[in-house]
Amino acid sequence: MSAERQDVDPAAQVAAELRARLRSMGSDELIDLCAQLLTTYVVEGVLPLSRATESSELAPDAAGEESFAQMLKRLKAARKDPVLERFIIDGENISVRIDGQGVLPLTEYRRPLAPPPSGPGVTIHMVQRREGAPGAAGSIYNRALYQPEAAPQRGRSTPPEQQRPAAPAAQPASPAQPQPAPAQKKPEEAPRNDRFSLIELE
Amino acid sequence: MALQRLKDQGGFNGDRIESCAMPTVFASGSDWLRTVIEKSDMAEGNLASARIRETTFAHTALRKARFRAARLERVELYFCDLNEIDAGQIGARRIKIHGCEAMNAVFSGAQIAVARFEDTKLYRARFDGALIVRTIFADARLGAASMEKVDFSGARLIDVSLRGANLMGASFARATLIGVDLRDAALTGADFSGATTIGCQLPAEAAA
Repeated sequence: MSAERQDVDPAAQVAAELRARLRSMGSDELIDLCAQLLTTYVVEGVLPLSRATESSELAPDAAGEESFAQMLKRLKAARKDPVLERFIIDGENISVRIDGQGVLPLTEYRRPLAPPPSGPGVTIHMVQRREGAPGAAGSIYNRALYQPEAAPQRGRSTPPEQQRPAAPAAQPASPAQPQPAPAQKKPEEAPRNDRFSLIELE
Repeated sequence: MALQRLKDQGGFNGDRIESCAMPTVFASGSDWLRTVIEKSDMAEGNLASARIRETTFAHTALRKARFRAARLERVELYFCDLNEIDAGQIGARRIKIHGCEAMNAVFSGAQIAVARFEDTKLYRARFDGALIVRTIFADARLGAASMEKVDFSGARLIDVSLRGANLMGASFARATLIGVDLRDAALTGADFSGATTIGCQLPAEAAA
C-alpha cells in the first residue's frame, strides 16, 4: 500500500531516482558534487534558479555593501509595490512623490552609505529611527532636522526616559502633533513636519 | 611594464592593464586579484593553474589562451574573444561571461558554479565531464543561447537554465541533468543516450 503511494507521489519518485543515480556515482564524483552543492547553497546561501528573481542575475553577495539607493532600487525591481513606486532613484539621489506636493528630494537627510534596513517597510523604519532612537541626535542627518524640535518636547514635562521606550507607540500619534506646531514654532518648520507625517502615513 | 610586474610579483594586484599587446604571455601559476584587463591582446597566453579573483577582462583577445586548471572566482569577461580557449579542469565560481565568442572552447572536466553565460556564442564548445551548478545560459539578443553542437557528454548539470537555448546537435550522452530548465530549447538532433534527467523542465513537444 505505502509502496504504491510512493510510486504515485512525484516527489518520492524524484527522490528515488536521485538515490539510484547517486548510488551509481564514484566516491570522488560524489565528493566533488557534495562540495559544490554545499558551498553554493549552504555556505554561500545562493537561491536556486527556480526561486531566484525573474531577472535571474547572479546572486548578490554584497548585501551589506549596497547603499540605501541601491537597496531601494533592488526592492523596486523585485516587487511591484505602490509605496515603493513613489520613490524615484537617480543614482544615489532619492526623491519621493507625494500627492498634492509633487516630488520632494530626500537625499539631503540621508547618509552617503546607509546600512541596509531589515524589511520592506523602509520609509516607516527611517522615521522611527529619527524620532525614537537614543543615538539619533548624533546622526549627521538627524541633527539638523530634529534638534530644534526635541527641545520643546522635553520642556512639555515628559522626561526623556519615558519618551524613549514609548517611541514606537508614540508614532501613530505623531500625525496629531503637527497641529499645535504651526502655532508654537517658526512657520519654516511646519512644512517639514507635514511632509514626514505624510511619509509615515504612506 | 605589465610583463615585468608579472615577472616580479608573480601576478597582478589592483592593477589596470589597458591596450597592452601581450600575446603568448606566460602567466601560468600566477595570482591575479582585483585587476582590470581592457582592450588587450593575450591571445595564446598561458594562464594554466593561475588563480584569478575579482578580475575583469573586457574587449580582450584570449583566443586559444590556456586556462587549464585555473581557479577563477568573481571573474567577469565582457566582449572577449574566447574562441578555442582551453579551460579544461578549471574551477570557476561566480563568473560572468557576457558578449563573448567562445566557439570550440574547451571546458572539459571543469567545475563551474554560480555562473552566467550571456550573449555568448558557444558553438561546438565542450563541457564533457564538467560539473555545472547553478548556471544560466542566456542570450538576450536572439532570445536563445547559441549552443549548437555543444558537448555535455558525461557532464553533471545541476540547477542549470538552458531555457530557449539552441541545442541542435548537442550531446548529452551519459550526462546527469538534475533540475535543468530546457523549456523552449531547440533539441533537434540532440543526443540524450544514456542520460539521466531528474526534475527537469523539458520542451513542450518532448514532454508530450
